Amino acid sequence: MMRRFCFTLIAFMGAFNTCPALGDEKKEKDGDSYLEVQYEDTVVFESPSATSPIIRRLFVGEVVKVEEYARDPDGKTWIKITIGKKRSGYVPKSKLGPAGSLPERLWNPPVIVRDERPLAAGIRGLGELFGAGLNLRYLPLTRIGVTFSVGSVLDEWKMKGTAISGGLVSFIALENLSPMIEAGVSRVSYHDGPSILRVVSFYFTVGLEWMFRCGVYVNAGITYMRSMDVEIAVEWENANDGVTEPRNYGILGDIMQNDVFQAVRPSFGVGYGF
Amino acid sequence: MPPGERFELLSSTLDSNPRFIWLPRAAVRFLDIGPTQNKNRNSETPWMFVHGFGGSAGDFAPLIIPLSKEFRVAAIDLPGFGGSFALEEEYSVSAGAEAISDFAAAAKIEKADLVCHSLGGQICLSLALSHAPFIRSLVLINAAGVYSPSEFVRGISKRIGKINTGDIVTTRGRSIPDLISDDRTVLKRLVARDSSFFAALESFKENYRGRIRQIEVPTVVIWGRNDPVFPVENAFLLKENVDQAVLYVVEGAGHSPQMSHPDLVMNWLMEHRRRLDGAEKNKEL
Repeated sequence: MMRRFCFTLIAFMGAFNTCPALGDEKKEKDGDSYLEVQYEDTVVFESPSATSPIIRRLFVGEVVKVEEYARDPDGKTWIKITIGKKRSGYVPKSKLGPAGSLPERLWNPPVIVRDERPLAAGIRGLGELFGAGLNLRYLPLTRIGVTFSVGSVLDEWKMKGTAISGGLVSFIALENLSPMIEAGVSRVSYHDGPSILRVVSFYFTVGLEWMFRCGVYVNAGITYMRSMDVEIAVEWENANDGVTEPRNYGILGDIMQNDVFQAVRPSFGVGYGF
Repeated sequence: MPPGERFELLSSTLDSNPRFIWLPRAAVRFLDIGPTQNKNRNSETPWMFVHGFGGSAGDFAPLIIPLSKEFRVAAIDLPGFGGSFALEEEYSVSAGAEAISDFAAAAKIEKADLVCHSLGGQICLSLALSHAPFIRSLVLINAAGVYSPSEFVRGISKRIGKINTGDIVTTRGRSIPDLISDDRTVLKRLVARDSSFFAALESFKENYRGRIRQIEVPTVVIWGRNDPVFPVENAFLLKENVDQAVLYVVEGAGHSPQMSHPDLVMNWLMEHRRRLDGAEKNKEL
């Protein structure tokens, strides 16, 4: 039993020793081998000769990909390496050593999706529109842009008027999911019979938006509005008749207090970036 | 070997007496030699050599002598140096460039391959950047004009050891002797406060480091690895910024590889000429 144990142990150790050491796998990827520049003043020559033209210099720590080995008439060993995708050159073998580490995967530069899709169009709901409408936005800078919306005021699922808004929008983060801030001016018109309530407001929205790589985005937030100007327009005939009946301006009327219009409302949007 | 002796060697080897030509601003000693008898030899595009600070055409003797067997070779001693007369006005890179231009016109040189060393390199860069029509290509050997001025001053000042009355002695490195091509008469003139030499030193302030990307002529850069005056990094700067520049570095050489390693430099000049001639033939086809 002891002998069996020893044989098993020896076999196990032998198997362990034949496994590639951690890190060896990294140095050979798909059959490629890599070396690292060890010395200052290392340059790449056009051919395996120190009197041939120099292509470029290399810096200590640069990792180069080996193509093949060559010898010059003096017996000195040179290594042919690739420089970029199209060029190759020769470096004296004495200047290179084993590569300490290699990147595990190709570096993919981060994508700033809103940079790549600065123009977006979609549907906007509630918020400063009091209904639903179309939204267009454009980000000339990575984080800041302009937004414009036009829609209809909905009250109890009936179209009661129109709304238009415009302002600046800012996305704080560069990631797909980003907080957003929007500020602007809106003009809402609520029609009730012969009269129209018009409210020009300043609005401020904070929220979150997720824009997917494919360009689709969804956002949600909270909008605060405060009126700058409130007016009631009455049809000419009624004005001449002196009709001044109190009017019911629905959701807008409910919010008005002391002729000041102030509201906090949810908002959402969905759309596509180009 | 002092520059005067180098030029004598050049003259005696080539069996020609020093000649002088009056240019608009100065009288200069010059060479214009080449195969005249053998019609098979190519002398269409001459080589023109431009020496550095404190030197003369004799600095290129190891190159001029063999080249002149096959090609037309022209060279002048820049005004105020070698055997040339002094300029009446202040020295500057542009004055040197003008002298080269005037000489090319006087010698009826339509196109030449310029080989330029040190300050001569700075003069040739100035000519190339002003699109002098007679330049077909440039060979820059440890050229001035692309160094970082503050580094240059720092580097030179580190290497001055001490000053004796009537002489300057360097105790560290070889910057000053390399810069002046070992011509100690230059040092004596510096110590004697020759104003023209101080003005010539002023010309080192002109710098083309930020403009070398505008050079359009084929360019070869040859540099001694151990140049204490203009470090080899200047060579890489030229290689990386001049379109399709070809770079050779001479291991173990200092500021004047054309003197310390003439055979290597000669081979590279011939390779350069072959490349140019091949390119021109392809254009014609």
